[in-house]
Amino acid sequence: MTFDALPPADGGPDDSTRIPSTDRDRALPLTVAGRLVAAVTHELRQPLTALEMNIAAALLFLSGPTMQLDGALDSLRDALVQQGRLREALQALDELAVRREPLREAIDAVPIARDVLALVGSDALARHASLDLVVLPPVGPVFGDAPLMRQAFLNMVLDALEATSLSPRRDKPVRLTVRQVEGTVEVAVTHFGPRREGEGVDGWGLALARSVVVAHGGTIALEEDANAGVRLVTRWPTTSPEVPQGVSDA
Amino acid sequence: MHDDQPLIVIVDDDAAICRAVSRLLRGRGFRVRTYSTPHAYLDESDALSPSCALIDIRMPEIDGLALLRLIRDNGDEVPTVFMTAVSDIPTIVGAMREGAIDLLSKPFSMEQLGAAITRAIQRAAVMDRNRRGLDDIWRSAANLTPREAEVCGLVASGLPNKRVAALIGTKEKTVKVHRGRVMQKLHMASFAELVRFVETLQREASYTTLRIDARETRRPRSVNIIIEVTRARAQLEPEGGHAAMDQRAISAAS
Repeated sequence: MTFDALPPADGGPDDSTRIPSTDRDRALPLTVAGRLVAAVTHELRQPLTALEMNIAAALLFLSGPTMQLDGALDSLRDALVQQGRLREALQALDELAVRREPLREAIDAVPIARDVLALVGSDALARHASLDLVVLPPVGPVFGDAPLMRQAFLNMVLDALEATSLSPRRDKPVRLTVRQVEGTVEVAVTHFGPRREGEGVDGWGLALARSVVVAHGGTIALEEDANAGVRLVTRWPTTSPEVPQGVSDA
Repeated sequence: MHDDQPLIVIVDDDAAICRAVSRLLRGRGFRVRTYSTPHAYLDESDALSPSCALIDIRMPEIDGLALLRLIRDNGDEVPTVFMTAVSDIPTIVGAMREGAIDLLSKPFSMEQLGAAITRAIQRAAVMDRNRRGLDDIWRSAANLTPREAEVCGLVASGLPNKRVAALIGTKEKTVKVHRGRVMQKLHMASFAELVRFVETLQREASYTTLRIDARETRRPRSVNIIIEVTRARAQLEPEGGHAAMDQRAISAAS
């Protein structure tokens, strides 16, 4: 097994907010954002379709020769539910667009991991890959920023899916594991796709994840083993010397 | 809701889409059945004769394109409209290659949905007419004995009675008797009609079973013989001349 120690990020803790200076740095956020937006866009189209069909059905029920009030009400209730789905997807999209200093809150990484797997579900289908979440309790709160963590997890999982789609071993799931390790919460993504040459955690694909982890004071490393696959391991601090007040919803 | 209303099936793993689209289509007078997985549809497809299948492309286990191939492998032919939330070029090409009536990119409007379903129903009506016509032809051909089917195929290929007699190892007089019975059993008034009849069987040779009103009919043996005999003759005498024909090919077909 090899273990790549991670060099410190170029920009230190504010790496996620630094201004790109080279061509590569300018292109990087666009590449990453494009992949993330594609995943979220799919989640917008589904409820939007259901919403449009429900409103059309409600109008049909109300404007026919015999008004069908029950049918119209059912359609409108369903339309409201779909509006809720849309709002959540838009919120996720908003969070992806924001670049800012990490917040400092005690948050639970498990529901974030679950959200991310739900979000990339359709992308996994398109790539004929499966997803898997393993949580080894107890897992304490991470002292950090939920939207930024979601971005990092998304980046890690999408990268793993892309690698898996290039691999003949698509029967193996992309696995997201969450557990507590020595005063940190470890969130790791395992896949059996190829590790692309020259693309460690410093590569283009994972730069966003790296910058978020570093901004949180955490670590990121890449492990590789012929039998266990490629494992991207991030560790997030569970404590802070400053004001860890209350636990917010992730 | 009447049984004679067109049946639309919806296959989509998103329950909200199934519910909303089916509600709208029921409101417009269609019969609708929804399925959340391809397997759930395949389990019931034998008993259904939908006029249109609305199928989502991205689904777990089996995607929409693979589902359409499985439906065809089962001997069904259903005019299909695909739905997709990802209209990239490979998806569009894949859908068109599979012979989709239309590809609706989510979100789509009621008008787009209605237009696609209308086209599918029109196609279903044409396919149904063709299937019923072919079924009638198979039924009348099923009355032929294997020897009569052989004679039918060879005669319709343009061979004179004498040549047919030589090929099947009998007398010209016997061939004439068989030919008369063929014309009688198939209710043919002229040789031209017989040729058109055999041409139809050749043109629709890809059908080995027909499913009409949830009733399945297998292609009768006599039709297999006619198709094989005419095919063998076409291969051996592509110009329609009178070169020697391999009798073994004909014997094998019968």
